[in-house]
Amino acid sequence: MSEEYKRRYTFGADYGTSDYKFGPISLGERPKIMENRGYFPDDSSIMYELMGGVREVIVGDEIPLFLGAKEDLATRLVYPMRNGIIKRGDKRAWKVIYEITRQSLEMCRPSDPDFDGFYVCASLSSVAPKYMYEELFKIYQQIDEETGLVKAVTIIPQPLAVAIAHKVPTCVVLESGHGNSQVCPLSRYPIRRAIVALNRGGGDANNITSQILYDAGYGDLAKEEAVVRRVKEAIGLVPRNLDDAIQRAKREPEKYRVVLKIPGTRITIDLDKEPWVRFLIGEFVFNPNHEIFESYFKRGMPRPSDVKFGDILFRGMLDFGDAVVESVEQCPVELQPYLYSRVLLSGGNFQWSAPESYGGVAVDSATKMGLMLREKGIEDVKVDMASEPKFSVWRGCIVYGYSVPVKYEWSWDRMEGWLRLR
Amino acid sequence: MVKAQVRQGMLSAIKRHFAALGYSEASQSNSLPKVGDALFFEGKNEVVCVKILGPEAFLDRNTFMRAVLDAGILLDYCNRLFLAVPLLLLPSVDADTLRAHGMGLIGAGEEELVVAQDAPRREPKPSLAQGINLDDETLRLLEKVPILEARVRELEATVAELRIALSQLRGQFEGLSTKVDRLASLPTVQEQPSHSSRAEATGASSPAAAASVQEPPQELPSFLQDNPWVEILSKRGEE
Repeated sequence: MSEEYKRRYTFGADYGTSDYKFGPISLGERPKIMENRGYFPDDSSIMYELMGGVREVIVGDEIPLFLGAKEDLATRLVYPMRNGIIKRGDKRAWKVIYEITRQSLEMCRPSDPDFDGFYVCASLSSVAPKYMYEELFKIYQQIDEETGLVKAVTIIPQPLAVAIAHKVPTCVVLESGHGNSQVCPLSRYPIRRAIVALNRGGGDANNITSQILYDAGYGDLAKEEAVVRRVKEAIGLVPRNLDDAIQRAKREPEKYRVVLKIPGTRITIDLDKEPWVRFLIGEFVFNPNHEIFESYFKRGMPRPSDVKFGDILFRGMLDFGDAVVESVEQCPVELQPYLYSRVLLSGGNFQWSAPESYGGVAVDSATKMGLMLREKGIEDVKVDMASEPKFSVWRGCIVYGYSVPVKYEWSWDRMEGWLRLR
Repeated sequence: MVKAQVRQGMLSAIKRHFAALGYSEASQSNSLPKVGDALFFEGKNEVVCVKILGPEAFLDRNTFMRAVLDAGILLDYCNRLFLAVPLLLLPSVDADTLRAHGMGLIGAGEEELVVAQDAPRREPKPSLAQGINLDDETLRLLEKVPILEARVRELEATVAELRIALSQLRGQFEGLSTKVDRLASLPTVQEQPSHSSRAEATGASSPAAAASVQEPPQELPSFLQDNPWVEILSKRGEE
């Protein structure tokens, strides 16, 4: 099979924590998007009967039609990649991955009579254990046997895809999603032994937002994850310096006051008395070690803890600055300046606004990260926020699939290359 | 079989009764909630609804309760609501309780009909009354609202990302403008050898072959163009 064929039928598949981004190179700049979740319907429900009652799991746009009672969602709605890792025996999670993968490939089947399967480049979290690669290969093998849609497949870590999409061969990628964060240095290859994983992500920012809502008298809203997430995104601020920001906000509460109306509801949230708490949300993402957070832990807010998945230790309380330094210091000394000179931030957990009216008291993620690294004595630091972070992994997959030669076969030692399915 | 006969008899008696009072039967719109047998009558500037509880509704307490609660939904769609039960079972239904909840009570047999409790007149909810007129197409569109909301959220996120990209582009554009201005101010230099002759001199492969890897055609997405990774990755396996 020629290189030309592979380039025409390169297909990217990014298994993100919330969304699955997919599609062939012919889509151009943007992939198609499907929520990375599946609903296992109650087989006694009316909709299940109406739809023929044959499907074990529903994915894509049809999910809202099947959703049952709120209490059922926790057990029936499965987000397989919520934490970047699927347990080996989690059959329901793997079933969702199978369904979204198959559906996405079917959606993109070309009409060309010469089409003989896609060259699929999939992307997983950099901390995904080897068995996840094995399971995903099996899924593609099965789909190809059933549909003939996959000629060959390869899997790359998400930070590598981010670096590729941003055209940077040497850099450190800090990716922070809902459940965890990963620091991965790269120099043409991902430097796997230097990866640092953190058991902290957007979900932890939700936790402190929930506690803030509870303290402000909105205890009933504090339990609804969707509301908490919206509040976090709307009111959370990253402080340049937390102590300074708190002092300023206490001096001028009206300036930092925020009134938030949840669209389509009667809910209005007004942190009129203590707007300074807005800075706690952003700071907690970057550094949960400030003494002010102790009172929250004592009142029951979960402290991000160290956990181990396979061989990888996910650190709970390590701040992002230390995480980058720890990761870079595991690389050759000569390489370190080049890595610090290009730090790329990627993922939804870095999407914070910094209103100009706050005069630099609130900053964006790249500025905060640069400050943290300079405080640790790193001088020539350049931090960039990935543009269109939502699509960068898919784009990296397309470039990888387009460029890596067909003859370069998959190797479990290198964790690279094409696995030909036939 | 007997149950069906009783129900048919009730339907006939109810239709006769309301026709005699000057009401005409109205068709039931698809937008009404599905609550089993119910008849709608129009006349005297009002809509009257009769929810029929056949003999099967009296088989057990749960079935009866469900039927009565279903009937309650109809209060929002008419001016007066009656519950019709088989005449023989009329004594077993508490008319006072129904009155307290704004419903009237009718006992209907094949030949005879008794209005045990008249239904008080009330105004239906305006939004729901209008809803009766919603056609199937509108209902289908309404079902798509949650999906559309999700898409709008997605678009909002995309716009936010575009803003960031735009601000970065502005920065790059300003930088390039400065460089262009600086270049324009330099004195003219001697013409360089052509690109092709330089390629021959350095022994490069044919331009077509080089272009296939390093210079993707214009129709390729922007993230593939001038991307150093294309060359790095195309050499995988050669190291």
